[in-house]
Amino acid sequence: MVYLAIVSLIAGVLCAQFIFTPEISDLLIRLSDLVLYVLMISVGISVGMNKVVLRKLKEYNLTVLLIPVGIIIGSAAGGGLAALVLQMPLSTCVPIVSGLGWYSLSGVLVGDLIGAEAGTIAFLSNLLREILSFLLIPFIVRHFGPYTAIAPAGATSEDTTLPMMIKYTSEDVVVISVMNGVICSACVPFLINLSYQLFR
Amino acid sequence: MAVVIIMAAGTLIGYFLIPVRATERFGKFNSQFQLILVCILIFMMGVKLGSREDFLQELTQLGWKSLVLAAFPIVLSVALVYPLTKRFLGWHVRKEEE
Repeated sequence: MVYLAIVSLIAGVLCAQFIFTPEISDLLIRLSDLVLYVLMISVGISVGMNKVVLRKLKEYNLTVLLIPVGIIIGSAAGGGLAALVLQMPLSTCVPIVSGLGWYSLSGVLVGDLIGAEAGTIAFLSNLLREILSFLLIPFIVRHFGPYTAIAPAGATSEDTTLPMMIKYTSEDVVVISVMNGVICSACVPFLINLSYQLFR
Repeated sequence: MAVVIIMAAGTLIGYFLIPVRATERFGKFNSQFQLILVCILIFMMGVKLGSREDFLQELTQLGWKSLVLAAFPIVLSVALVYPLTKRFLGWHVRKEEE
C-alpha cells in the first residue's frame, strides 16, 4: 500500500512535469473531486459495515473511548505546536495532523481543501506518522504500557500498525486497537473539515 | 463539508443496506475499490504538484515540515493517552511482572 501510494505520487509528478500538457493536467485536477466523492461513499460504507465494533464498544464500556479522544486532542495540540515552530497557519497545520496517520485520505482531503502543497505535506507527514508508530510500538509498550502504544498509531491502529500490536500486546488490547482505529478513521474527514473551518 | 455528508450517507448504506453475511465478501471488494481510488487520487495530487514550476525547490522544505508535523502529534498523543489510560483503565507499566 505504502509503495503503491508513493509510486502513484511520483508518477503523477513526473507525468505533469514531462508528459501531460497543461490542458490534460487541468482536466485531471477537475475530475479529482468526483473520484473523491466516490471514495468517501466507499469509506462510509466500510465504517457503517462495522456493526461488531459498536457491539464490542458497549461490552468494554465507554472508558475505552478515552483513547481516541486523547489521540485526537493530543494530535491537534501537536499540530498547534508545529504551527508555532514552523511559522505556518493553524488552519493548515491542525487539519494536516488531523489525518491521524491515515495518509492516503488526509493527503487527498487536505489537498482538496487547502491546496496541493498542504496536501502533500499531509500525505508525507501522516505517512511518516505511520512508519514512526510502527517502529515505536515495541518501545512504548515496554515503557508506557500497551494501551498507550495505540496512541501514536492513531487511525492506523486498525490496519497497518495492527500487526505490531498483535505481536507486542495481548488480545484484548488488539480488540481495543481495532476499535480505536475505526473510531479515529471515522473522525478523520470530520476533523479535517472542522479544524479548517475553525482556524481559518 | 460535502465530503463529510457523503461519507455519512455511505455509513448509513453500510449499516442498513449491507446484510451482515455479505460484509466479509463485500468488505474485501470495497477495500480493493478504495485502494484503486486512492491511487488515482494520489496520482492526481502528484499531477497537481508537478504542474507547479518551482516544485523541486519546494521538496526539501516539504520534507522538513512533514517530519515536524508527524513527530509533534505522536509525542503529544502519547503524553495525553498515557496518563488517561493509567488513571481510567488501571494500566500500569508491568515491569515487575515480566
